[in-house]
Amino acid sequence: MGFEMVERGPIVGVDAARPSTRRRGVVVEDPDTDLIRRWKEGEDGAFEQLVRRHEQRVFGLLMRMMGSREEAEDVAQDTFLSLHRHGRRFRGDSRFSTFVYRVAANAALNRRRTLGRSRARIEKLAVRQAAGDDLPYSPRDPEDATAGIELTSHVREALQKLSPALRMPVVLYDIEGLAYAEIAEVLSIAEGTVKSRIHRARQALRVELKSLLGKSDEESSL
Amino acid sequence: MNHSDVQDHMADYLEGHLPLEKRALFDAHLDDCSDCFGEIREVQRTITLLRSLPEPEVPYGFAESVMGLVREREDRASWIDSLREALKLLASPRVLVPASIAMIALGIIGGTRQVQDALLISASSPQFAGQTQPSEDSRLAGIPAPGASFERAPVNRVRRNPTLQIRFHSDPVLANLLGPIGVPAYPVAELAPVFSRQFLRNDGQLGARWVADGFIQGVSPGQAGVLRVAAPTLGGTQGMNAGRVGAGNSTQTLPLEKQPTPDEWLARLRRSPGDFASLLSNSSLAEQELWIANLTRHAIERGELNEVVAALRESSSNKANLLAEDFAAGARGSIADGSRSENSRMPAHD
Repeated sequence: MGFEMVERGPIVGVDAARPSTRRRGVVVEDPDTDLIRRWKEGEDGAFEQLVRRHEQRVFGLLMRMMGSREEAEDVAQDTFLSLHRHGRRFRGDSRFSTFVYRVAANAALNRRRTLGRSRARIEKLAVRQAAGDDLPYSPRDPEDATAGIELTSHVREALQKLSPALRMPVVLYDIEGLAYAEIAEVLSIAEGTVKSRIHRARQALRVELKSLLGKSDEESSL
Repeated sequence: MNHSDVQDHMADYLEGHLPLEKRALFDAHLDDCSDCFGEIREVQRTITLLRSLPEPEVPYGFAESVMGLVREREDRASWIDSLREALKLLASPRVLVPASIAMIALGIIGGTRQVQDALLISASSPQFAGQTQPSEDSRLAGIPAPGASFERAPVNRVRRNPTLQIRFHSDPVLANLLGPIGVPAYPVAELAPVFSRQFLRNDGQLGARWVADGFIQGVSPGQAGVLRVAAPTLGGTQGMNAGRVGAGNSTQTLPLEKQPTPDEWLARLRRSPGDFASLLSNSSLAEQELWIANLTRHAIERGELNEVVAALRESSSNKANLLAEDFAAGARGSIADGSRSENSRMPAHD
């Protein structure tokens, strides 16, 4: 019997699929080392380069976690401000990207939804809409725009129905491509817990997305 | 291998981490069990769907906005450092002794009881809220958020108008010694509706610092009365350097409307959740957060949280419904704060 292989990520072999600098828990090389050193030495612009280097992964994670572009942006800002405040204490025991994920995950999990922030989000959305930037996602291929948006919104909604405790590990693993050990470090939980939460999250998503799974099969067989 | 084994090893199987022998057993079970075969196929497609999500685009100018906030905070930190240095000078004997004499004298002039009754309240204390009306909207002046308001104050404005820090203490010498370090700041401009600009003497940082150590006769929340503000003034802005303290003092008397107590606010919330949410939404973001935190805590203490959340949820007002979730989240936060959950910690890299 045979199964189709997914395009990327851990399912085809965690280590092979991702250009990880870590092997068996040993930090071989951290591409951010030099920037961190310069930042600690007070060099102007070093932190900004770190922000630019990590903004995509932070925003991506938070977008999946928060479900709203505006809120993701707020929490991403909080994340980098927190990094700026505490990041100099980073001692290089793990990769800086893991540290960044950890701060972002904490920021997301600690985020309180408040009426005030709702209002701020509405205001930001109004500004974005006025600027013509009101779509939460931009499909890469205009031909697939309608189907893509529909599919995307279903998956996003299903993700949002998961509790944060289940959503975070599955996002970090299946979407962001972190290894179990890294997720365990990011979330300060045992590796076994990470695995079981990912399993539970996938099962919950499977049930939630059942109606789409056949469609996905048809699309993937094309 | 049975169904349970499949559940246990599914992740490893999907990732090709199962040893060859176990994988063969797994495959054999899948060949015979259509339920497990269907399930594992669906899980695989679920993962494919997750990975098909488009990569979100980072908002335009995100890094610049972060760096703008970073620079604002650095500016603010440097201002606080300079304030700290200045306060060290203020606490030196050549300034402190005459200043303390003047402040004690002030206490006698103003009435010994008033000084004794002055409250030990930091500007961040919710109790502070009941005593002043920093917001133009006096209906919501009950629980403002001085510290958080500072966050939204543009730095350049803070620089033009030195940050006022208010400290209440029963002992004028202690108040002077302890100073406002570490107390959340409150921009002068924000307090203008409460204290007259003349009193705040916005003629340099010196005046503002002395105001910071002024005494305010406490008016407890729920108490109507008169807010009396008195502070020593220096004999000109050069006074500190000369080690002289002016003999005069300024007193400002402001009428205060009776402020509802937290119990009264909770009753009002339950009576008219929509009106309450609407009223709250007109206040600043920082004020809203403090309101929610304080009232949530108060509702928990009174055992009324469920009723409050239910009233908000059942309201036809969308704002009230949103507020219900804020209260629920606030309650979870209060519980989490008490237990210091793992996720609330910063990474422990030290």
